[in-house]
Amino acid sequence: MSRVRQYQSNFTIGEIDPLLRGRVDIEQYYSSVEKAKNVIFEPQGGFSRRPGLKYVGDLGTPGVTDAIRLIPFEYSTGQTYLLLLMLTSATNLRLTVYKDGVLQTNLNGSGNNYVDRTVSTFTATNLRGLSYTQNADTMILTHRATAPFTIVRGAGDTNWTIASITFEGKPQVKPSVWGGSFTTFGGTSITSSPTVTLSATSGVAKATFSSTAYGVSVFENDRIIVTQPKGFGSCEVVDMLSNTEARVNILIPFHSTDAINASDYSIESEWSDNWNGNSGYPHTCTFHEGRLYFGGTSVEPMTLWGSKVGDPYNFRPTEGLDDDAFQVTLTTDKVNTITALRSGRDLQIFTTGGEFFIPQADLDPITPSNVAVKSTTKRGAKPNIKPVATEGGTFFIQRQGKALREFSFSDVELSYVSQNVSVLASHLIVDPLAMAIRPATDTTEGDLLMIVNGTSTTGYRSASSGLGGKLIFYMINKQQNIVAPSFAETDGTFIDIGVDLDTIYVVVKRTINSATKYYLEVFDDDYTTDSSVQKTSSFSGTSYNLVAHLNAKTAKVIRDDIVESDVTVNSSGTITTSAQPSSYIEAGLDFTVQVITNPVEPRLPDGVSISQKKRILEATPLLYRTQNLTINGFEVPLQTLPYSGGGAVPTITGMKKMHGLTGYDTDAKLTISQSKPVFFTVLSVDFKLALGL
Amino acid sequence: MASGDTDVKICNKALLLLGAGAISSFSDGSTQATACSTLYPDIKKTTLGMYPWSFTVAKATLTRQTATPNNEWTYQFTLPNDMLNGVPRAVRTSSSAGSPIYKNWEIAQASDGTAVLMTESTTIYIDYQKAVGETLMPHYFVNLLGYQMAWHLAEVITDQTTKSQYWKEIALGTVTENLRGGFFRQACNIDAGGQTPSVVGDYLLTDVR
Repeated sequence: MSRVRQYQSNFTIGEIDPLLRGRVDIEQYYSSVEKAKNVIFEPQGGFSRRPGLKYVGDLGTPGVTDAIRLIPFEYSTGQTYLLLLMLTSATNLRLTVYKDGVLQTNLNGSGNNYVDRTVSTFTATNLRGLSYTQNADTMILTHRATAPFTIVRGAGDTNWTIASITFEGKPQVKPSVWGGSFTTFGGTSITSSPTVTLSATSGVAKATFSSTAYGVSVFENDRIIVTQPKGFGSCEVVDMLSNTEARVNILIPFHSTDAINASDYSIESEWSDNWNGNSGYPHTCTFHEGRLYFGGTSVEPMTLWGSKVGDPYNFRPTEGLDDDAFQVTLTTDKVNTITALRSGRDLQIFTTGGEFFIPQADLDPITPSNVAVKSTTKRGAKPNIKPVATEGGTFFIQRQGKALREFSFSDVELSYVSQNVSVLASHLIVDPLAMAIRPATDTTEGDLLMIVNGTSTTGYRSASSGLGGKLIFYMINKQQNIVAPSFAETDGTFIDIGVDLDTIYVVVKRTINSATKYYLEVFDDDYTTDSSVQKTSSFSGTSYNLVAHLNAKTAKVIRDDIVESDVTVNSSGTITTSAQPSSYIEAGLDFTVQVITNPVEPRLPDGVSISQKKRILEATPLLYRTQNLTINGFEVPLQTLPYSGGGAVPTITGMKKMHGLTGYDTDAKLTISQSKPVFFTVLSVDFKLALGL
Repeated sequence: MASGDTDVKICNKALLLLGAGAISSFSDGSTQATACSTLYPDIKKTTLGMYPWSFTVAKATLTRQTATPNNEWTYQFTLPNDMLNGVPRAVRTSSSAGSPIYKNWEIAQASDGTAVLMTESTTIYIDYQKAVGETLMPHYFVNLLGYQMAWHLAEVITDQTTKSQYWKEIALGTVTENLRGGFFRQACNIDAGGQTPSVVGDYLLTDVR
C-alpha cells in the first residue's frame, strides 16, 4: 500500500492530443491536461474559468448565412473601433461601427446606423477572405471578386464612408496578340480569317475587314502589324467606323493597298490597365515600408505589386527609380496563390504553396532594382484566414486547416521557419474560419491567440469530434515556452472574432426560442455567464427586465456574489432575485467548465506505472480567488468559519484539501469543474496516489 | 436487522473500504461490478456457513420418500432445498418441545444420486442453516460480509496484495488464530449473545458430585 505524493505545479502546455497518451517520457506530459473546456490557462501556470460573454447587441439576420466579419480599426491612440461587416444580401455589404462596445448610430447624419456598399456577388467565404490593411483614417479592403475599396473615418465617430479606390496609376498588362499561331485575342477565340484592305499606304487611312470577326471594342487603340512576306507595315487603330471599318494612323508605310490575308498580318492590343473585371482584382493587401502592396488576382494569383513609396494608389512604374512601383511574380515549381501579406520584420508573403519573404540586405529598403522574393518553407497557408502577428512571429493556419504554425526568422538557418505550434494539440483545430490575437495586457502576461472553428468536420480525426463551432484559445508566451491551448464552448456556435486592442469581440449564433440569432458579445473579466447582462445601480425591488434577448432560455442569476435560483426567461427578460441587489446583478447563460488531468504517471524509480492500477485518494488544489470548485464531482468546501449560512460566495485564496476520493484505474486522473457560475483559479494541484504491491 | 441492505450495497461498502468507486448494479459494466458479481454469491454462502448464525437456523419437518434405501437404513427423507451446508444441525423425531436429539441417521446419496437423510424413524424434524436474503442479515454479519468481500476484491480492484492481506486479517484474523479471529470472532460473540446458554444436563457421574 504505497502512497506517492504528486504535485502538478503548472499547466502551461494546456490540453494535449489524445494521441500523446503514451508519451509519459516527455516533459510536456507533466505540464498538460487531457481536457480543458471553458478555461483559460494563465502564463504563470494555473488556469481560470474563462471570462463570461457580455451581451452587446443583436445583429439581425445576415442575408447570406453566417456572413458576418469583425475587423478592428485603430484610428488613433485612444480612438479605436470595431467594424462589423455583414452581407445583407449577396450584393450588399453593410458596415456598422462599434466603439468601446457601443453601436455608433446615425452614421453621416443619414439616420441609419450603417453604411452600405454594393459588391459583386459575395459569399460568406468571400467575406472571410476580405483582406484589409489600415493606416490612420483609411482602411483598404481587397478581394479578388470586387474592386478594392476603402473605409474612411471622417471627422468623428459617426462619420464613415466606403468608396472604391481611385488609382493614380494601375499596373499595365501586356498586349494581347492575334495572328500566326495565336488564335485568341483578348481572351476571345477567333476562328474566321478576314482579310484587311488599307485605303492608303501611308498617313491616315481606312482599314476595311472582309468580315466582322472582331468585336468593336477589341480593336480600339490596337495595332495592325503586317508581317513578311508582304513587306512590313504597321498602323494604329484610331477609331472604329463600323464593325468592319476602322480609321487608322499608319506608323510604318505599307507596301500596297492590296487586301492582306489573315495569315500575313497580326493584331496587337495596346498595354492596358490591370485590375478590372477581366483580369480580376487584387486579393490581398498590406502597407510595408511606405508602399502599399497588393497580392494576387484571379488571373495572376502569384503576382505581387508594390506601389510607389508614399504614393499608395500609384502602381504604374515609370522611370524605375528606387521609389518606383514594381511587380514580381512568385514562380516556383508549385502553385503559389497568394493568400495573405504581412508587414513584419520583412514583407512576408503567404501562399497556398509556401511561404515567401522579400529579403533586404543590410537593412536596405525594397526598390525595383533589388526586389526579389525568396521562398522559405513549403507548408502553404489556408486561404481566407488572416495570419496574426505576435512577438516577432506570424501565426498562420496551414493549408489543410489542421495545424497552427508560427512563421519566424531563425538566426541559425538565416531564413524563416514555420514551426508547428499546435503539434501537441492539433486535434483542437477543426475547419478553422477566423483567427485573432489579444496581446498581453496588464492583467495577463501571455498573448491569447484565438481560432474560431467551423462546423464542417469532414476529414478530421475522431479526437476532434465535438469541437466544431467552438473557440480555441492558445495562451502563448514564447520566451517561457508556453503554448497552452484550451477551448470555449457556449450555448451556440462561434461565427467570428475580432480584437479591438485588448477587447475580444465574438459573433455567436444562438438558437433563442427556436429562432436563429446572431449576437455580438464581448469577453469581459467581470462576467461569469454568457450572453449576459449586468446591472450595477438603480436597484428597486427584486424583479428586473434584463435579458429579453434570452427568451425561453434558462438563465443563471448572480446577485452580489450570491448565486440565485435559475430563471426561465420570459419574453420581457425578467429576472427575479430573493432580495434586492445592493451592488450588482448578473443574468446570463451558464457554461460548463471541465479540466481533466492527464493520467497520473508517478515516475517511480522502478519504472513506469502506466498499466498499474492507481487511486488518487486525496487532492489539494492551490486556489487563487476562487468561489466555487468541484473535484471528481465533489464540491470543494470553501466556507470558512464562522459558517456564514449560505450568503455570499466566499472568495478563497490558499489550499483546500479534498479527502476520500475513490476509484482505482490505470488512468487515474482528476476532473476539475464547477457547480456554480462564479470565479475560480487553480494554480497547481497536490495529490496523493495509492499504488504498488 | 440491517434492513434495506442489498448485495450491491454490501459490495459498495467493501469497495469503499478499498477506496474504489461504487457500482450501480452488478451489471453496470464496470470492472468492480464484474468482480463483485463473480465473487459475491459464493462468498456470501461460505460466510453464512462458517458459523451457525442464529438468524440462519430454521426448523423443518422432512417428507419421507416412498422409495427406500438399499442399505442398513429403512427410510429416506427429502432434505429442504434451501439448506446451506447440506447437513442438519440437529435431528429430532418429535415436534414437541424438549424432545431429545436423535442420532440414528445419516446423510447419504439415494439411488437417484440426490442427498437424502436416511434413518430408522418414520418422522424426522430437523434444525438446519438456511440461506438468508441481505435484507434480513443483522448488522454484524453485514459488516463481516463487507470485510470478506473487501479482502477477496482487494487484489483485483486495487492491484495491491498488501491490501488483500490487510483486509483478510480484519475479517478473519491471523493464521495463528486459525482464521477464526478478527471481526469474525466479534460477529460470533454478538450472535451468540442472544442464544440460550448451553446447560450441562443431568448425568450419572456428575450427579454424585
